[in-house]
Amino acid sequence: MTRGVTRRPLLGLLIPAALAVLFIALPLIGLLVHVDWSNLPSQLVSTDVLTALRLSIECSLIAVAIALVIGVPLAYLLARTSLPGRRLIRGLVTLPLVLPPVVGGIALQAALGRTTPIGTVLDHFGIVLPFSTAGAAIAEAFVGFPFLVITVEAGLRQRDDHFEEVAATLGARPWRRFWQVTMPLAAPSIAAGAALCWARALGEFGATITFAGSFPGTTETLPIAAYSSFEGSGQVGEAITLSLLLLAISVLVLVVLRDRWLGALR
Amino acid sequence: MTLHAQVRTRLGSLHLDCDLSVESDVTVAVLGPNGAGKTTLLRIVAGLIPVDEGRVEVDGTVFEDTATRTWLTPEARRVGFVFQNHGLFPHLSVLDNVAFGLRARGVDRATAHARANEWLERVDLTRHVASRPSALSGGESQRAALARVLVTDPEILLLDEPLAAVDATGRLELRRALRRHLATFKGVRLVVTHDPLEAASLAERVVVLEDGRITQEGRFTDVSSRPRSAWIARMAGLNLLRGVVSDGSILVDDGSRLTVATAIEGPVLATIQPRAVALYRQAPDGSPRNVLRCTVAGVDPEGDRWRIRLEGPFPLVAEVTPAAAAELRLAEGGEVFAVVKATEIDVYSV
Amino acid sequence: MKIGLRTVLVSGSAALALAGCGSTSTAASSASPDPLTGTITVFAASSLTSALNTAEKGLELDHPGFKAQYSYGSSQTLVTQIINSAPADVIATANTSTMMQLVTAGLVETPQAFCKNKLEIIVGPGNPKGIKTLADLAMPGLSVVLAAPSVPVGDYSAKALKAAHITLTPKSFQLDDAEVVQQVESGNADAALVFVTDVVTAAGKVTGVPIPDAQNVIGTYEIAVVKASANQTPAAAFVTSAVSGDVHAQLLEDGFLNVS
Repeated sequence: MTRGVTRRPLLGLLIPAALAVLFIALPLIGLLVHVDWSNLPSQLVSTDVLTALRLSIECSLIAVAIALVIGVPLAYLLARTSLPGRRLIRGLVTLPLVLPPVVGGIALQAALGRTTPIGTVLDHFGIVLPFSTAGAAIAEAFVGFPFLVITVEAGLRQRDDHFEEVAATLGARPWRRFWQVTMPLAAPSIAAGAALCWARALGEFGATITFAGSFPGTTETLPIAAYSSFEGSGQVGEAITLSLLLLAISVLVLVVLRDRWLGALR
Repeated sequence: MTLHAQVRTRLGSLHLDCDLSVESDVTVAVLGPNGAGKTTLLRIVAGLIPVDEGRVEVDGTVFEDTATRTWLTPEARRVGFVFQNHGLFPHLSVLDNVAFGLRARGVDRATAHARANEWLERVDLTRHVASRPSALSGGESQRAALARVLVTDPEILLLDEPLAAVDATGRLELRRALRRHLATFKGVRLVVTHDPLEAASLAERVVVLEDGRITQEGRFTDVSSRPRSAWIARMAGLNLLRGVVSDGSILVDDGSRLTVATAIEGPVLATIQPRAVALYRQAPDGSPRNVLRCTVAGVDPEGDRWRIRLEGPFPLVAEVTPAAAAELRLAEGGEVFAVVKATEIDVYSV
Repeated sequence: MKIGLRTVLVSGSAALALAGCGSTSTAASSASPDPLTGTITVFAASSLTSALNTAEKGLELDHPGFKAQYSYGSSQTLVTQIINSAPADVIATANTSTMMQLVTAGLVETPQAFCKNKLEIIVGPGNPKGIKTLADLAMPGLSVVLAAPSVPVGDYSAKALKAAHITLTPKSFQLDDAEVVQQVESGNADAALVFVTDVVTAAGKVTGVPIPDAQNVIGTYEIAVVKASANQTPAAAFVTSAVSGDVHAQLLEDGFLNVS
C-alpha cells in the first residue's frame, strides 16, 4: 500500500462529489447527444465557423496578454506590499465578476466609447475601440481580469518574502529580485490564473456584443456566432457545433495545464 | 575591521536595546534564549529591518543612522547572510544558486560559474553542481548556502543558527566545515545561536543577549564560569546566587545567609557547582557548614549523574550518583537537607 | 311598528350608493362573468415590452382579479422555450416564421395577426449627421448598426436595404432591437434601423427619421393561445384584447400599426 491511510477517500464525501461530477457531465452529455454527427465535419470547416474560431482565439489571447501585463503587477502590489487602499482595490477587482456582462459592456462604452474623453483622444490617433477587434479583446479582458488577479494574488500570498530577502542580502536590487525570484516562484499561479482568464474570455458574450458589437471576421466571436445561428434558424445544430468547438479547445488547454493548476495550489 | 551597532528598536513584544562592537580578529557568537532578539539583531545589521533609533557602521561606512537619516539598502551592504533554513532558491540549480550573488553584481555568466564551481569544490559539493536544492541533505544545503555567500567576498559574515536545520549526523561534518571557513574568513564574523555548544565550538568570544539586552560578554570560558544571569548559569550548568557579602558571609537576596570564604565585600554574584551540593536525609551536625532544608522538586536522570532540582530558600540543583539517589530515597515532594561547603561557593563582584 | 330614523338613513344611503355604482359600470359586467380573471403568463417579443407594460396597468384596473405576467425575449428564444414545454398561456411573436414553428408543431391554437410594425431610421438627438433618407445610410465614414438578419427587425432591415439597392456595411449586427437602440444612444453608432415603436420608447435620447412607406418593410406580429395552457379562457380573452380591444388600442397609441 503506497498511499497513506489519510489519503483514502471518505465515503461521505463521495456522494456530493459524484453529484458534482453529474452536475457538470449531464448537460455536457445532453449537448453531445444533440450533435448532428454526420453534418459536423462540413459545419466545422465552413468559412464562417473557421473565421469565428480564429477571431475567438485571437481576441482571447490578446485579452490574456492585457490581463497579464496589468494584472500581475497589481496582484503583486496587493499581495506583497502595504499599498494604501488595498481592500478597496480588491473590491474593485471583483466588480467584473458581479456585473452582468451586458452591464459591463455598457460600462466600457461609458469609459472608452467614441464620445468619451478617452475615446476622443484615441480617435485622434485613429483608434476607435467600439466595433473593433481590439474592443472585443478589451471586453474579454475586462471580464477575465479578476480571475487572473485573484489567482495570482492568492499564489503570491502563500509565500512570504523569505527568498526576496535572501536575494537582497546577495546583492540583488529590487527589479532583479522581482524578475529572478518573485516571478519564477509565482509562475504556477500565474499560469493557472492565465488559464482561467483565458477560458472566461473565450466564452464571453454579453460584454463583447455590447461594447464591440458583432461583425463576421472582426468581432463575431464563436459564442456570438452560436447564439446568432440559433436565433436565425431556430435550430440548435450549428449552435451546438460551435459550442463544441469552444468546449474542445477548453478541454485541450485544461488537460495540458492540469498539473500546473494543481501545482499552483501548493 | 570593526562593526559597531548601537540599536534601540521595538518589534512586537521585543524591546531590543544594545551596543555591540565586533572586531574581525575573532568569531563572535551571539548567544541567548529564543525570543531574545538575536536573529533580529542580525537582520538589522543586514539591513532587512530598520531600527527605531540607532546607528550601524563598519569602519566608517555608515549602514544606518537614524540621527542623520542615513540608510543603506541590504543589496548595497557587503554583508553575507547564511539563513537558518538556508534559503536556497528552489527554482535554480545549486550552481546557479551559488553564482546568484555574483550575477547580481554584474559578473558575466562564465566567470560567475567558474568561481561558483571553485567554491562548491571547497565545500565538497561538486557532485551536486547540477542538482536542485531539494535533492540536498540539510548539511549539504547549508554548505551550499555558505558557499553562495562566501563567493561574493563579503566584509561581514552573519550566520543565523547555522546548525539548527541539520540532523545529528550532518552536524559534525558541518561544524568542521564551518570552523574551517570561519577561520579563513578575513572580515567580521557573527554567529547567532541558542546552543552553548555551538557557540563554544564556533566562536572565541560570546555576547549573551537576553530579552533584548546584552547581559554579559567575553570569552566563552570566562562567561560560563562566572555567569552574570540566571540563564547563563543554567546554560553553564551552575547554581547562581545574588547577594551582599559582609563579615565572611553572604546575605542572599531571599534572606538566607551562607558562610563563604572570600575577601570580597559588598554586592556579589556566587556560583555553586551542582556536584558540590551534598544531600542528607537528616540535618548533619558537627562543623559549621551551610545547611539548607529543601524539598525535592524533580529528579532528572542524566546518564551516570542524576540532577536533583530542589526548592528551598532558593532554587538549587544538586548532582548525585544513581546509587546515592536510591539510598536517599529521593522522590518528588520529599524532604532533604542540602549542604554546601564555604569553599565550594565561588564569589565574584557584580 | 316603528322603524328607527337611523335604519331609514342607513338603508337610504345604501340605496343611493348602489344607484351611483350602477350608473358607471358597463352593461357587460352585470350581464356575464368577466373572462379576464386570474393570472396568465404571456410570452412576448421584446419590441412589445413598453406597450404591453402600459396596457397591463389599464387591464388590472379594469379587471380586478386579473394579472398577466410577461416574459419578454427574442421571438426565437420564446418559441424554443414553448417547444420545450415552458408554461406560457399566450405567445406573441414579431414575425410570422417563428410562430409557424409552433403551428407546425401543433402547440398553438390558430394564430392571429394583431398588429404591424415598420422600420424607422434612428440617429443621435438632433440628427447631427443630417441623415434624411435610407440612401444616406451608405454615406462613407458613417457608423451604422443593424440588427442581425437572424432576428425579425434585422431581417426586415436587410430586406428594405436590398429592395432599395443600397449596399451598406454596418459596423455591427446586434442581436436585439434594444441593443441597436442602445448603440445609438451611447453615441458609438451614428445611425441604425429599428422599429418605429423602438423610437417611441427611446424618445428624447434619440431622433427618428421616417422612411417612406414605398421603401419600408412592414412586419406582421402574430399572437396565439398555447394549447397546453390551463387558463384557456383568460388567455383567449387577452388575445381578443390584443387583436381588437384595450390592448390593441394601447399598441396603436405606442406606434404599432393596424393589421389592415
